[in-house]
Amino acid sequence: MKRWRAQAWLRRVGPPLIVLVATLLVWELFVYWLEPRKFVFCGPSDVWRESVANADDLGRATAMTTIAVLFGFAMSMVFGILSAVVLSASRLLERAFYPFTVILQTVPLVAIAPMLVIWLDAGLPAVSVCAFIVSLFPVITNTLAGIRSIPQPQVELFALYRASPWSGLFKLKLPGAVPNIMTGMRIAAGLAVIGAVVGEFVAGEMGDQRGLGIVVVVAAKQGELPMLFAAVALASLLGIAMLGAVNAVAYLLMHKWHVSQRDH
Amino acid sequence: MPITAQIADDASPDECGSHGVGLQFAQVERSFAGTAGRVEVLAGIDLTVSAGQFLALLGPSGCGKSTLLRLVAALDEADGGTLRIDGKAIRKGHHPAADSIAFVFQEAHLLPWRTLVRNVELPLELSGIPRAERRDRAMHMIAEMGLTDAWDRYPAQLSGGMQMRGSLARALVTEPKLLLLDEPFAALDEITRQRLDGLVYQLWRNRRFTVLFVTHSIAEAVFLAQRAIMLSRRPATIVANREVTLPLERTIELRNTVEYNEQVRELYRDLLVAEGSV
Repeated sequence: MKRWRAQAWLRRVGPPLIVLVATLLVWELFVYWLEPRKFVFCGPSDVWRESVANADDLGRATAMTTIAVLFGFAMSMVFGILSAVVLSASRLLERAFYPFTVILQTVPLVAIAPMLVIWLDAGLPAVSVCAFIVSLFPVITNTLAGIRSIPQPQVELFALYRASPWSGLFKLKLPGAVPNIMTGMRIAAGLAVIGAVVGEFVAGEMGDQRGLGIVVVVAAKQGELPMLFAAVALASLLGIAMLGAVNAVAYLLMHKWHVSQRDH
Repeated sequence: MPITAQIADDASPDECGSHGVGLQFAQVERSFAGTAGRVEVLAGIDLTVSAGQFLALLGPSGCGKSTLLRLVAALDEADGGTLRIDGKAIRKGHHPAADSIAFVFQEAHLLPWRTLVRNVELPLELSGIPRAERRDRAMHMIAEMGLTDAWDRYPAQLSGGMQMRGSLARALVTEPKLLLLDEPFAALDEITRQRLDGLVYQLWRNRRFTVLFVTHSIAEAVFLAQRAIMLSRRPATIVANREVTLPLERTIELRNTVEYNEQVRELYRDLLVAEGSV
């Protein structure tokens, strides 16, 4: 049993690991043989060396960005689910407000960030709000879709037994929307990281508390390509960690009853 | 179950203490907005259902059988006429007997995130019955449906027939006086369907609630019901209201008797009238 599990785990983790190692190897060899100019290109080993040398700074930057991502993500979960619940309560409300939520998706963050700096000053709150704005829309749409897709007979069953609106929400609407909410969370998790890093470009300057976005800006200005790569790699790792956390929550909530969680 | 004990097996429900409610429909009308104006679905339905009766509603598909059922459950409201339950008018959202009605849909519609027992408990939970009592009552119903082994499984782990039994258990756990079934076993295979028909019939015999059973199968209607109503095509009126004169004891063998098949044939003739082909 234990051996079987280890094999299954290897089957899952093995292929992407091989792709990763192969890519790094090709990249390193490419840089080694072609010897492009160092400030235009660098190999994985350069990135690694630079990362280790600046481990303290990069660690602190990652921590800063992580905090902003978590705040923004938490806000969009709470506010997104709440708005979807309110919008789902009446067709009129949905028709009145839903078109404006599209703005969230279409207005470029770089254009809003300066306003946030004016209102909130540069710093963690402004960056968190950037992460929030970017990740809100998928939570609202997916939660709304989930609530709307609850089969009519189940809604009528609750009406028949004269369930309170409260019961309807917590015993039918929210649990019924969980699979869709999880989809929204998955999309929002990645977007929150992008939102925070981009937000930091504009609104991240906060003394010595610098996030990954600031590391990117500074490294780009000074032509420190390895640091640039290191920051990008850490931002991706952060995104992957967020996604992993969301998948873990999805598994906990749904593995017993939902088809999407089979064979995991 | 105290109700079971009180009733002698072969007594007619009209004579002995029925636990059902009576229904009175007078000129019930319902129409819906369609693409080309209003579509009249029910055009003046007059019908009386006595307490404890098993009534089958037949008719061409799309004729308004389900609409009638939804009106009784106050899930929809009539445009004209009155529906009364034991003499008291039913209006949407205001049901004089909401506590004593149960509805079984075409599909089981158990909540997929709840185990079987938690699904059966749901109606009791929504009316605020304490945890221990509702677990007890739910487990009794589950046992009566022959699902004891599956009590803590999720709906996705149950067969279609088992899910439907679960749905019946959920409907009956509140001890309803009126059971509304909307083509409940239409999606099941024939053998499972006949078995569940037998189960519903036994549950009715033991409890004597009133049943409105919507079906498009004449054979099923004759097998189960004491009275069968045939509705016409839209706008629906009642084209036949027949008493099913078969013994109270109904088993699979009944389907091979001359009497049974004679009743089926009569209703087929009614169906041809309902379809407008005679």
